[in-house]
Amino acid sequence: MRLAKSESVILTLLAARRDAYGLELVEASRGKLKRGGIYVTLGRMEEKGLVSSRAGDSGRRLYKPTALGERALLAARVFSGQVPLKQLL
Amino acid sequence: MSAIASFLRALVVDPRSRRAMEETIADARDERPGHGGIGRAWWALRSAAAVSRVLLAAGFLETRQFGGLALAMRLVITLAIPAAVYVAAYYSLSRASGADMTGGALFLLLIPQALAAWFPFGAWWLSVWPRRDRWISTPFLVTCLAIGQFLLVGWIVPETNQWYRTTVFDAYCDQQPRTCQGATLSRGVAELPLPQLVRRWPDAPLSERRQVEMRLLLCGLVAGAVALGGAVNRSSRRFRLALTPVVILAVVAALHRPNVISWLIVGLLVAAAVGLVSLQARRLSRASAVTS
Repeated sequence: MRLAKSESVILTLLAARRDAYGLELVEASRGKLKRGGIYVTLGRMEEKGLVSSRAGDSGRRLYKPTALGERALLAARVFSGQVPLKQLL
Repeated sequence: MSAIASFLRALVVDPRSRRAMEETIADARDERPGHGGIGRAWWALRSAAAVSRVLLAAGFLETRQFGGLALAMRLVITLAIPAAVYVAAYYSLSRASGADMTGGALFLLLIPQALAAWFPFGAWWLSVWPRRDRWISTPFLVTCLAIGQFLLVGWIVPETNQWYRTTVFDAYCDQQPRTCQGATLSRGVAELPLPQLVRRWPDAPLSERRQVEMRLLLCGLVAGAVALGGAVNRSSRRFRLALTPVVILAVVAALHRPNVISWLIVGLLVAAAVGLVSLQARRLSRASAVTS
C-alpha cells in the first residue's frame, strides 16, 4: 500500500497521540495539513482501513490509527530508510 | 444547524464529502471568537478557506464518481473562470476610474461578449483532457458547442450589448436631460442580430461584413478547437501540452483580423482532427489484425 504524504503525516501524528480531532492534527502538523482538506484525507484513509473514528463532542470525530495504519506507516518508514528493515519483520 | 451550514452541507452529495463538510463546519463553530474585530474577520477568512477546500475536493471526487457530470463541471469552469476574471477586472477598472457603476450590475451585461471571445480557447481546454463519460461523442460535442457559440454571437451578445448601451444612455440622460432632448439610441453593428446583418449583406459596408465574418469565425474556431481537442485527448500528456500553445496561437492569429487565412486556420484545425482520428482508427485496426 502506497501512502500519500498527507496520509503519512496524519499517521505519524496519530501514532504519537493515539486519538485526536482533525483540527488538533492540523495544529500539530505545523502547516503540513490544511483545515477542511484534512477531513477529505481522513475519510479516504478510513475507507482504506488506515484509521478509525468515533463520534466526539460538538459534531466532531475522534480519529485513531488502526493496526493496518500503524503497519503501513512502519513499512513507509522502512522503504524511505528512516527505520531499519528488521523492525518490519 | 444554521442556514449557512445547511446550505453548505447541501452543496455536496457524496456521504464522505458531506461528513468532511460537517466536521469543517463544526471546527469553525468551535473556534468562533466571541467578540468582533480582526479576530472575527480572520476566523471568517480561515473558515471560508477550509470550506472552499472541502468543496474543491468534493467537486473532484464527485465528478470522478459520476462520470456524466465531468463534462458539465468542465463547461461550468470554462464559463465561470473567464466570467469571474472579467467581473474582477471590470470592477477594478471602474473603481480606479471613479466611474459610476449605474446600478452596480452593468458588468453582467458584458459577460456574454467576454465569453464569446474566450470560448474558442475554453473549447480547447474542455475537450483536450480525456473524459470518462465517453457516451458523449466528440462530433456531438462539437455540434453542441458550435451551436451554443452561434446562439451566443448571433443573438445573445447583440441583445446584451444593446441593453448595456441603453442603460448607460438612460443614466447619462438622467444627468444631462438637455443634451439628450430628442436623441434616440440606434443599434450599432455589434448590436445587430445575425439574421439582420445577413439580410443587409449585399449592400453592407465593410464594417458590417467584418462583423458577420468575425461572428461566424468564432463559431468555426470553437468547432475546430473542440474537434482537435477530442482527437488528441487520448494522446500522451506531453503531446497535448506541446499542442496547446500552437492551438492558442492559431486561434489568436485567426481572430486578429478575420480574412481568408483565418478560415484556413479553422480548416487546418478540423483537417488535423480528422487526420488524427483516421490515423488512430488505422492503427487500431492494424493492432486488432495482429492480435487476432
